[in-house]
Amino acid sequence: MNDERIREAIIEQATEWYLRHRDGDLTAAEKQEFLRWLRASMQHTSEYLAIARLTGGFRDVIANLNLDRTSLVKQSEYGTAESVVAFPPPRVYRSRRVHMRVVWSLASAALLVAASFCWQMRPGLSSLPRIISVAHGEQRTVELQDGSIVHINASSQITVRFSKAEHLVELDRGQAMFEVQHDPTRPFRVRAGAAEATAVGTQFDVYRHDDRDVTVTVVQGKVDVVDGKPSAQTAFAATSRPSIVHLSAGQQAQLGSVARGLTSQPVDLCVATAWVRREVMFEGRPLHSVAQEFNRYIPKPIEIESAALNNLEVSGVFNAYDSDSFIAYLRQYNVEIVEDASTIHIRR
Amino acid sequence: MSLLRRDTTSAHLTLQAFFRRRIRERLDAADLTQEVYLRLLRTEEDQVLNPEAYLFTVANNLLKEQAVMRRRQKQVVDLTHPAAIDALRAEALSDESDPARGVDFGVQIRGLRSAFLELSPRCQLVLVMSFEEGLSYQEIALRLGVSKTMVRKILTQAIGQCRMCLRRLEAT
Repeated sequence: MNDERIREAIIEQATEWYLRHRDGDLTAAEKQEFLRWLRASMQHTSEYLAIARLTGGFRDVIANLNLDRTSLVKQSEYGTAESVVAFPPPRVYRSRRVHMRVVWSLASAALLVAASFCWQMRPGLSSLPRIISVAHGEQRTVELQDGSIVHINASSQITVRFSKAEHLVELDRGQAMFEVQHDPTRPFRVRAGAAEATAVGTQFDVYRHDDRDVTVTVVQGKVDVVDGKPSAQTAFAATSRPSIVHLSAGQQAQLGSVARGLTSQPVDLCVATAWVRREVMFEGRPLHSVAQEFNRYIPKPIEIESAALNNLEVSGVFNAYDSDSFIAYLRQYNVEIVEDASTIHIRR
Repeated sequence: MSLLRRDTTSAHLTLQAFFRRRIRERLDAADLTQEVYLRLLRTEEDQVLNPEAYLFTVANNLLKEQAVMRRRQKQVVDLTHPAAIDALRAEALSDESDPARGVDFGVQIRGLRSAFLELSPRCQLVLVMSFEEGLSYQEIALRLGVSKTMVRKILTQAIGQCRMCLRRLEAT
């Protein structure tokens, strides 16, 4: 057997083990057998990790494909009409029995809705705005009609308004990172309150803290940021701030009350994009702002109760969903930590 | 049947969710895998009750250690020296790999997407039913009019083909 054939066999074994884990609990003996298989060769371990990583991406990929299930069933030559009834896909994890009854009764309505949805989402036509909301503690990655990819952070919402003339995304609240597909005929615009960022084939992050405070960080390429509503003060003052800045990779624009108009400065991209890796990363940042950052992800908010602690500067890298290790880290600062049903209180 | 299935797999689903947070990291990158493997070899066989959970935990811890080390390496520089700060800044701006690291998810999603689209319609259909709709083998078998064993076989084939396709993409 040549190398490629051996690799193919390993991939099949890895998939087989992966599905056995997914199907249900393995017996103690099977678990030991699995461990022996993992240890038998580094390629086994490597392929198992690769298979687990790959299957973890299926849902995102399938959800973004807008697959025509009806024709898929037809093409697969299994074509019983029942096979398409479950469209749109059930996502509800309650009793399957109840669920099936609901599905059956809604089937025709669902198909109608699906048909009109597909019609509206046909590429090239102006489509209805598509609103994508992400709940507290979650993150989503979606692909837009033009192939651009948006990573949406927790507690955020975007509205996608694509037309023949322009590709506009409104960041209604929160934070999103855009990987823009190159299209010279239609610039890609992101509007966040007063700030508007325009890009052609690039990667950038927009964080809307509230209506006036917005940051735009460029990871790759170039982005123009416009202050759509310059205040009277800055518009007429002799030393007025510019209402447009040109950003390149590694630069960040700030717009808002703290920045007093539109400013730009270099920024550590590793820190600015940490959220995409589901990390909270900070260096010499005041404790209250770090707690605020954690509170976007974790179910139980952290509250800093002593004013003296608010401006304590801390540094570190943490899993955004793991407040425990952050709390453990805080203990070295000689603080009192009290956790009740709703909040984690930090005081000195 | 399907309820039972969901219960027995919940532990695995939790693990999977935990693992998915790390999906953008190159967990199968050669050097990282090597370290994971070495740690697997170093553990006593009877100490590991759930090898899969152990594997994911080891991999995840390694990724965290790497992140901390990256930060430390930067902090070693004498920051009182203005030239050091300029050098750091230049490095941050010029190092293409650093901004790209962790944000190449788009590339991965596109890769997996083209792998998925290369599959036969029946492989695609079974993946959709199993991974997106969360149906059991029994339910998929009923809808397609084939046996449960057949469903499992198609699923194995579909995942294996995706992996082969991604390997080809990675090689180029």
